[in-house]
Order: sequence, then structure tokens, then C-alpha cells
Amino acid sequence: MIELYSPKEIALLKKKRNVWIGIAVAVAVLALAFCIFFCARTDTSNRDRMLLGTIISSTLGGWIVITLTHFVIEDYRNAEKHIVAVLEGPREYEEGPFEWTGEHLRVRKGISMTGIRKVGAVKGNLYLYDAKKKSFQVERAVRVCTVYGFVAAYEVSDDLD
Amino acid sequence: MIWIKRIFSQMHRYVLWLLISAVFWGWIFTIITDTIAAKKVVLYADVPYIADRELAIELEKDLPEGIRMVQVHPFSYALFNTLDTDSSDLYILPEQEVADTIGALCPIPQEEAGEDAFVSDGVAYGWLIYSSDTKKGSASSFLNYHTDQETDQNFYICFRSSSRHLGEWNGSDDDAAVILAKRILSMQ
Repeated sequence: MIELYSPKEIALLKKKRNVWIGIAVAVAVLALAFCIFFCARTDTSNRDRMLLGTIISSTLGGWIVITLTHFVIEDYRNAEKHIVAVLEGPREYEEGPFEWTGEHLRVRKGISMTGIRKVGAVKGNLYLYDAKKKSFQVERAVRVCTVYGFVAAYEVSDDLD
Repeated sequence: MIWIKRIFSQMHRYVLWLLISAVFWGWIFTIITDTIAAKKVVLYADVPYIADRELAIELEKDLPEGIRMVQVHPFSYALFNTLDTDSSDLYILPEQEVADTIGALCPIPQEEAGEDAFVSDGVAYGWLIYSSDTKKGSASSFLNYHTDQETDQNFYICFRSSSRHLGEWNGSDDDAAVILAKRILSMQ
């Protein structure tokens, strides 16, 4: 069986997530520093411009933090949750051969999956995490191990080697 | 395409943050960039038009000792907060307004009142800054005293009785408000 998921991935994702959290904090601190800088440089003649600068810094900083939090950091967290669920979930096995269904699905608000099915089956009921596509050879898979319908591992046919 | 959709799905957060940012920093900015009452002189002008920032910049070119800031506001600035006008040091008011707010004004000593001062019950309360007879006023490049729609009247520069900048007039530490009022009167 070729395993698609490993506990090492969780540690790596956590590390990446922490780096992005650090970047988000740095952006927030930088935006705050700009706001304080604009306030400190204010006098009667440039008051309106400095206030505008402060609001723009704060707004842009906040938007960047929102973007990082809701897309990058949250995606890493969701990927982490997905991997933990697959590693700890009950395993089932299904015999192949398999083919792509062409169906795409997003789970946990952002993790993209591609559907696969048994050759000849009308409806696909299995999904492969897109990040695992490079490690999965659908045409060689003869048996797959699934957890909650997600492909967690697979066996390849020796005949095709 | 998916990314654009995802970003649009968070649009309410972006808009909310923009509003919070504008309101919060508008408020914080005002607090941070302000200074204590002892170090600033505040002028409110109830005139049809005032170039408030330009007048403040002009007055700040030569500040009296111990003063760091001059704030100039039209009366409309304090429309929702009368405490602002209550904390003012100087007022530029039309004749009728002077009569109505006389209880809040500091009497001007007789030797400094001059001939054109606003006088009530023998006490002077304001220096004439614009005369409706001659149509001439001080600091006219910053202040417009009359419009075609309004009945023309005299304008006076007055002092709030509890100002911290009237010197011997009310026993305060410095006379910065009096110095600045004289400077406004001397402006073209």
C-alpha cells in the first residue's frame, strides 16, 4: 500500500501556519507603526493628509490580515484537520480499476478534492485531496483505502511495472 | 476565479473593517494629536465663512510662550457637542450672539476696551472685529463676515470667562488668548 497521508505532514502544516501567523502579526504591527508615525508627524498644516494616511494604513493592514487569516491560515488549519481525520478515521477498502470523474468538490471551506470512481460505475463516490494528485496514479491503482470517502492509500498493479 | 469568489465571500469583513478603521482612527487620531488645554488656544468663529486651517497656521507662525497649538473652528464644528464651544478661549460672534452669551464672557478691563468695544451695563465684553457701517473687518483674508442673504451686523472678538489664557483679566497664568486676539485684529 502506498500511503498518501503521514503524521509528518501535520507538523509541516503547523510550521507553515505559524510562519503565516507570524507574517500576519508583522503586517498588523507594521500598520500600527505607520499609524503612529502619521500621528507623530501631524501638525495643523498637514492634519487632513496625515489622518487619511493613518486610516489607509490601518485599513490596508487590516485587509491583508483578514486575507491571510481567512484564506492562507484557515486553509492550513483545515488541511491539518482533514489529515488528522483521515489518519485517525476508520479505513475501508475498494477494488479497482479506477478513473477520474471530473467532479471537483471543496470541503472545509477551501480544501479542493477531485472525484474518482470505479471504471464503469455511473456515480463517483470517492475523492482525492488535490494536494495528493502528484502521488496518486489512477490508471495503476487496483485497490484503494478510503477514510470517510477520501483516498488515504492505494495499491498498484505489478503487471503495469 | 475561485479565489475571486472566495474574496467576495469575505466582502462584509472588508467593508466592516474599513468602517471600524475610519471611525476608530478618526477618534484616536484626534486624541493623540490634541494637546492639553493649558498649552493650546481655541477659537470658535460664528461667521458665514472661515478658512479655519489657514488662520490656525497663520497664528501658529508666532506662538505665545508656553503655547503649542492654536485650534480654529467654525461654530458648525460643535453642532453635536456644545462642550467644545464651552472649552473655547476666544469667540468671534455677531452682535446679537454676544448679547445672548454675555454670561459666559470675560469683561475686558476698561483701559483696554477701546472706543468700539461691545458694552453692556457699562462693561466691555468684546473688541470690534468687523463693522457693518464701514464694511471693513480684520483678518478678512481668513474670515468672511457677511453674505448677501444675511442682515449685516457688527462682529466682536470675545473671551470666555473661564479661559486659562487671559492673564490678569481673570487671574490665569498666561495671556496667550489676548495676544492672539490682538494679532487677529491687526491682520488684514
